[in-house]
Amino acid sequence: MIYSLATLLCLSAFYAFAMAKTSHYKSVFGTRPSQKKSLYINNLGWIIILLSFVVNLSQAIGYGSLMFCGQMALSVTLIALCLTYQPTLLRSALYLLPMWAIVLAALSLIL
Amino acid sequence: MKESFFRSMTWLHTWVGLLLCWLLFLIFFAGTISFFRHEISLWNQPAVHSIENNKYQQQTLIESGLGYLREAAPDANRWWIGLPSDRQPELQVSHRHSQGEGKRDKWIDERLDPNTLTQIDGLIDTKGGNFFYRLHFDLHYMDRKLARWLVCFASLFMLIALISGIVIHKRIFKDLFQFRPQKGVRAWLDAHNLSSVLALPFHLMITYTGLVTLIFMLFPNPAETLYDEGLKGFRADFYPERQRIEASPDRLSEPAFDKAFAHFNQNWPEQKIKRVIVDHPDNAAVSIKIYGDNGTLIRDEYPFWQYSGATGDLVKTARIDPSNAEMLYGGMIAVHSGRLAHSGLRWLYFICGIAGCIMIASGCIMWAKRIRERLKPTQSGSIGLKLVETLNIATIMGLPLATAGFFYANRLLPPEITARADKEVLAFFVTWLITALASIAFRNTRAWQIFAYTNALVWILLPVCNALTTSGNLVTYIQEGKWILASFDFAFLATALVFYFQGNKLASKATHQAPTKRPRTRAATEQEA
Repeated sequence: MIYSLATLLCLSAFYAFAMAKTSHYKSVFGTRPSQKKSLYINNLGWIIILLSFVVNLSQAIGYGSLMFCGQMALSVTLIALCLTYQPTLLRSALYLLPMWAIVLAALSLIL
Repeated sequence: MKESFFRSMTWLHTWVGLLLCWLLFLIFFAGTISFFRHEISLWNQPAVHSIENNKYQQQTLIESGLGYLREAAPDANRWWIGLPSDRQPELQVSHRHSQGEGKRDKWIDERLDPNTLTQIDGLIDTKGGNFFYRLHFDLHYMDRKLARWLVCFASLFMLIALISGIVIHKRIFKDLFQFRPQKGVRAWLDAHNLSSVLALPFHLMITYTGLVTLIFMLFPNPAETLYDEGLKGFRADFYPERQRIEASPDRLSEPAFDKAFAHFNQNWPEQKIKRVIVDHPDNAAVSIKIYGDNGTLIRDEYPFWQYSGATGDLVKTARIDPSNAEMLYGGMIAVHSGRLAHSGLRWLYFICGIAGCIMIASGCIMWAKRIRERLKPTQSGSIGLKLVETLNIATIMGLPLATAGFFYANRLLPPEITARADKEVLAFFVTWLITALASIAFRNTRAWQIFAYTNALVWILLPVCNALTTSGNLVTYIQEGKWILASFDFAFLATALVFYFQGNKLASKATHQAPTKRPRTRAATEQEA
């Protein structure tokens, strides 16, 4: 459960990194982001990826870092494929990813 | 200076990458598949598919294994009991028999259902996932030592290519998500960059630790200087469990198994056991070797306990409390082999491995495409170019096809033929050889397309073949919660889908070639030729 939360966080972080780039932002939302917005999204990405790393390491240092490397690979693959073939899919991710993250975080706290 | 540095790095990356890329592709491909080594062994052995999860305690299983071996092989010189795990449901009981002077000992493998503790019927002779595991570093049809040196050279080349690649593809992190499939050769560069950067930590780790796995073959010098007997002495020190125990002429009818296991269970009650080996069970030299399970710890070699069977006393232990150097070395091998991984991490490993295959494949395709692009339409390529194109299609399209051939052979070969396991391997190599021969004659886009469709057809029929030849199919696997077997069917279908899309893509390229847009692409050139 915790690892799925970390995966989701990792995916969100790379989603943020992709959206911080003007061309990708435009292909998803149709408008150009302001420079300030890009910077803000980028910083948010760094915070989330750090969070994902910490969540992974909280389980086991060695195993967690292996998971983290794998999660990064998976996240970049998914985001890159989406951006190439179905960029509009990523528009709903703006709401879906935080919602899932909250649900998973709640579940992992309860269970 | 900077310019020439950059240029020399590009040169290095191109040629070091190209020289052994097909061997590297084979190594990466086999290695990626071997992450599912035990799962493949399970798939290849339909008789064990119906085994339910084991419900007995490990001590019960060990005792029944010993009891079985006492009946079945009292005169063996070694008993081997492998306990069931999530990935291997059966209880393995093997015994080894001396064949007289100068001949190699003979192993007889048997498997028991861990719930009924009876022998499993209908086992077939197959290498399973071990074939790919061995192919990964021993290659095949080749002297083992030579093969390992070749693999080491290839890994070293890979490491050089990786580092020079990071230097020359400066923008890889900037263009992290960039993939533009409609842009000709540029698309291949994108695919190359994307597949390498998305799993960059994995690529560096797997290549470096790959070299470390064979480090004592590459650098025997420290061991040779430190130990009087050289590498042999080092091995005796590092792997005490591999020391040969000489048989004793005195018979022993009642080995003290109970006392040994009572001592073990009292002192290490939480320790999960991976396997138990008994050497010389019928004479006074009898010794019991217990190998612990590392679970998800980042360690490679198993902790080890050796008991004397005559007295039931603990004789020696190893790696129960490993030193820092042992932890580092074992840790590197453990992250390479991924034995510690649960299914989630295993799939992530697999994805990274596939990314590595794509990285190598796109690299060698790109080389050929670039040279081809520079040629005039009337020019035919040089021998080097033709060779590269042939090898490209033979490895990239041939290996998946050969793997499918291996799986088909496993299901379709009659169980009673002799040396069946070798025939499965033969099917793999024959399929590959046919692909290679075909690719000498046909190397154009049309050939790629035909191979892609063949692959798609072959892989999509594999679940059908499985359903017809065994008692299970995708629906029953899902109903019964057999997720390992179900994922095989899903993986086959996914592979088929990928090849189908590749075929379609190539078809649209071959027919709707727009020569006005780009100067000349290989497809257009060859269509006219």
